[in-house]
Amino acid sequence: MKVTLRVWRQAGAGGSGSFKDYPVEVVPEMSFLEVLDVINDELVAKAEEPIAFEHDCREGICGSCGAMVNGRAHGPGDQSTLCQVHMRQFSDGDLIVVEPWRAEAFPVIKDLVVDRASLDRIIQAGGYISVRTGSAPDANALPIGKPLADLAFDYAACIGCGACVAACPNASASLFTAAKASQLNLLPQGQVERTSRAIALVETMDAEGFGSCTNHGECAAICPKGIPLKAIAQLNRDLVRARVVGSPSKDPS
Amino acid sequence: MNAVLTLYRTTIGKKVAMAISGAVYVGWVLFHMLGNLNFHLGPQVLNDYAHKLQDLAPVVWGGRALLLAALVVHVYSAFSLIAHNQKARRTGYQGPMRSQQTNAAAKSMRYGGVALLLFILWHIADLTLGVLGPLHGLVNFYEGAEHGFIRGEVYHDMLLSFGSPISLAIYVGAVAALSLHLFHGVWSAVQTLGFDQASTATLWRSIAAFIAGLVLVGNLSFPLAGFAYALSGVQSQDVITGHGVKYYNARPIAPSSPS
Amino acid sequence: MNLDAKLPQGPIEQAWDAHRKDIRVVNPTNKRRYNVIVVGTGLAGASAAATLSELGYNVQAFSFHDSPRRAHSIAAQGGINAAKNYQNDGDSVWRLFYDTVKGGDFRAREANVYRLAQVSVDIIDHCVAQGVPFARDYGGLLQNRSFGGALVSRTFYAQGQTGQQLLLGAYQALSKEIRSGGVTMHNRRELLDVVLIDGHAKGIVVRDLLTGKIERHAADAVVLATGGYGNVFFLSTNARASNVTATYRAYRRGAGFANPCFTQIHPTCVPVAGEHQSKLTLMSESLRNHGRVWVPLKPGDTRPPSKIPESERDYYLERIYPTFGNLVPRDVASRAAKRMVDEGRSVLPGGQAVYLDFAESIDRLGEAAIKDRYGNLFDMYERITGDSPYKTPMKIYPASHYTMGGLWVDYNLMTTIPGLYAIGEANFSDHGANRLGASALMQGLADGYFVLPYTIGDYLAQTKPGFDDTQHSAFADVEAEVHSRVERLLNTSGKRSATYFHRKLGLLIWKHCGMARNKEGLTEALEEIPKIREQFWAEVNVPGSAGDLNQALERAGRVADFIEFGEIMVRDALTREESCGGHFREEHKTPEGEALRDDENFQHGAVWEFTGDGNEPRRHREELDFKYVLPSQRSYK
Repeated sequence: MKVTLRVWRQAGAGGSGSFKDYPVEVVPEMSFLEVLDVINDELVAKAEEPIAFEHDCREGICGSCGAMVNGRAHGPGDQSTLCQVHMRQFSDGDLIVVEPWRAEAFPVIKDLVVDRASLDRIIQAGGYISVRTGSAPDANALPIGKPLADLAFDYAACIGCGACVAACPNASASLFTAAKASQLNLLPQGQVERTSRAIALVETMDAEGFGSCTNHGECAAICPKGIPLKAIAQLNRDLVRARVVGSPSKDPS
Repeated sequence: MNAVLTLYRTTIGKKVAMAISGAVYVGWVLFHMLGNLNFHLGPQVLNDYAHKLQDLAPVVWGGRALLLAALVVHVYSAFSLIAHNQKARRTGYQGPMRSQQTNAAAKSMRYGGVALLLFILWHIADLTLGVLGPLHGLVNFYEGAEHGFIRGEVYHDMLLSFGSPISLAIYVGAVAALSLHLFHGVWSAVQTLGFDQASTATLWRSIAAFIAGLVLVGNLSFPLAGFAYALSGVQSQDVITGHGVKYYNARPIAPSSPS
Repeated sequence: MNLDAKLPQGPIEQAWDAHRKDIRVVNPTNKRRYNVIVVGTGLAGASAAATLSELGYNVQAFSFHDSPRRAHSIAAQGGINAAKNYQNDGDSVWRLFYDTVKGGDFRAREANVYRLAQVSVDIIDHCVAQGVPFARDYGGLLQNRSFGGALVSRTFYAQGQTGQQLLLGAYQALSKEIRSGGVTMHNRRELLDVVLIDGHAKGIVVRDLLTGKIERHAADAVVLATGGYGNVFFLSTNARASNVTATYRAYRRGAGFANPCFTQIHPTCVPVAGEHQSKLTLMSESLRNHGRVWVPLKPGDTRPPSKIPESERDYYLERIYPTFGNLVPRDVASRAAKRMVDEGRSVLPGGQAVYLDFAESIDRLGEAAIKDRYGNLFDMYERITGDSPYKTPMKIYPASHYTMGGLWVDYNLMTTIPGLYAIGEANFSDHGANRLGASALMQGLADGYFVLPYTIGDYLAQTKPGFDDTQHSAFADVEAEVHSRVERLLNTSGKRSATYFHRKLGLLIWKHCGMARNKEGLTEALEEIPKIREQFWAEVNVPGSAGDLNQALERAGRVADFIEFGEIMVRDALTREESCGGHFREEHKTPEGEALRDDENFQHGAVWEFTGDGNEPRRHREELDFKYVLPSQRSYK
């Protein structure tokens, strides 16, 4: 089958870009990224610059890949990343528009590559439990009910791809931030830092230039790992509690 | 207080402020609607209710102050969040961007919000201040329109307003906008305040839909009824107190029917 | 080449404690004066960087990804072993040690493996404290599953995303230390060479992948945590960017490279579907707990699986290995699959595959129970192939997955270059000739959290702290070499992409140095590889410039190193005249076709020394001594 990829080409950060069409012969078993590989091989053969795009594991877990494909983050298919999209999901003759994530907090570096370091900085602000290597008690000393452990896992499944930001009408990182905050805030190990974590993560998210949540649910609808919207409700509640009720670990004096 | 201000500094804090101020308005809208449903019980009941309310001046003024404060918080927060969100994506998608989930209610929040803000001003001018009489006089099917706005004659004033097709259209549009705003707003507020959990997610969606539906049906009932009465020729002397009508049975009285 | 492994003396049970007592320690206030470079921030690198920083060292961490969270450790599915004995099934440190030495086919150091088993329990404690959401039972306690090569349930897991959860735990620990200022993170930097001053590792030269700038970074010690070289096969389950450059460059600077021919072929991967295939996907080995492997009894049977009656199916693992059945170690399972396909019993028309069938388990436990355990793996399989494993058996085939070989390290994890350390998959130490399932995560975290942070002190305590002279002539020399290599790549004006050569190399090595090897094929490969290298330098085309994000350039550099490295790997396979673990020489097998070791001549680690371009590398031996687990022929029957 034959399709045309209309790909955003942009030479560098801050520069202007435009769409360019690449007609290409494909077979249904090919993954979307393999189609980009084929186009790139042809470009290299013509001594033209290949399309820059991020990818690594190609099995939907590293979170490197991602682009807007025909107006949908990560392209067609529920709960999948761009590398998991296959050409059997398209039809012969399709025009496929491929564009990088758009958000001020994700500046375009080149073509489809954007800078997502802002997500790292949110985690660095407090997306962890402060435990020093070697200081942990026995792992079974603290039983955690299966439903709670499972819910924490659901939140922990985030791959940091940024699709939630890309799909959000406000370019908000609420789902990303809430997934990490809620995973740790639910677990008993995370209680000590629950309030400081909620505050630090939200303030960093705001400062990084992500938008706010308007509860449209676009993020959860395209999340490749199916992280539920209620993560955001959990974060909201933790933040309000943190600010209004205060920290449970606060010095009683 | 400091905690509240620091909370408000964050986007989530502003959303919480919007949720709470919005909740004030949801309460007000429901209360206002319940009061106005007295319209269906006739001029006497409605006017009596209105007069009783007027007698509770401190409550009325306290309520107005609260509403004003909630409005300021709601609108200021909304604009400040919109500004923040617009900065979050200065360069939009150059190709298509298809929403997967967003419904019309969510999409129209900010436009609906502005429309409702304008409507509030119109509504106060119309039925609180009563300064739109000349406008209502232009086209009006209510026979008593010539009397203009009469302070205290709530039933008459409502007929005056609903008898005007322009005014009626504004009311119908505003109620629809309000209902849409609440459909997303109520659920959104619940989510923002963190009440929405797995077990209650669909419940809250239903509650939001129920409130939106109630507000739509309830608040459309009296403008439409009022317009129908006006069309069918309600006599102003049957409506305005002091002309001897003690009870109005909510059925339009034919102009010349001897009772 | 000095191959003193600095093994501790005394009974193995106390060796690690005794060793920690004996090695030098840097005093706490002095630690901040030492700079340590950690290259690679996967499980091993991130955990090491975080722990070194907690101890007070100044850490510079480097990753070629945009974020440490992308490292390929993230793709490990099945789990992590630990001798916790939470299942009360008789597990112990000794049993994990025993299984690992035996599973490695007696080609690993006993002392290293024993230490690994000892610290395994600390890893689980630490990861749970970090908030890693391991699977739990209804009583709230940790759940285990069994894995190939073991008779106990000691594998901790987080659905099919254990690697992800452990990596995120390490990433979060690293983030915490970045926040605290102890770690300076350099993302999107690729190591292009190691800098030695007076024979000691004193820094690295990296390329900023966004600006193309070549940077010099100095330190008192350098830790390589850059993973394995499985992508030498082109098609592997490794991530696309995984490469050998860091360890190969260290080898060229004098670090011994040990056992490069010990590569692991994972038995359960989604088979190759077409010529454009860029990467293979692994289906966790844990699936073999509930899946039965079979092929049709008759060669050339092309009926769909549902049409083949029980009596005409060959559950060959259960038939050949009744004790372990479907849970035989990876190398055994992989070779058995290859034998079936070689006999013409492939279940993929025109391709190579065997069935992994869940029908019996679904009947016995119900679809919900299977979904609970493997739901995401089944979804992943369906996404790739379009087939649902709930309805029809999976098609699987072995693929390159992990490399046991790596830089030679002593008990302190130091390479033959003083001050240069290698941890995680990048070193060779703990898995011998075959790694057991769920042991890679264990080893990466053991090295990073619990071994290197202590052992590095032994070297640093003897070193003057605070080396930061990037103007030293050694840096200038290395940088000049790096520049000229980059220029050479850009100035070669051929017509072919680097991927073309990578694929060509991969096919050659898979054919001759893959699941089964023989002298003839290896000799042929050794003749072919230099030709590929020559053709590469004559015909490769790298568009774009050096001063920009240039993925074609990155790739070309990695492929060039793979080509050179492939030669050592093949040479190692050729000189190891025995079969052991993942290294199967067709000339050396039992009458039943199983691997036949030659302990008399090959009970050693083969360590290769670089002797200059165009010269044959020199082979050294580290003899292995087995005092606790006496070598025997591995039997899983």
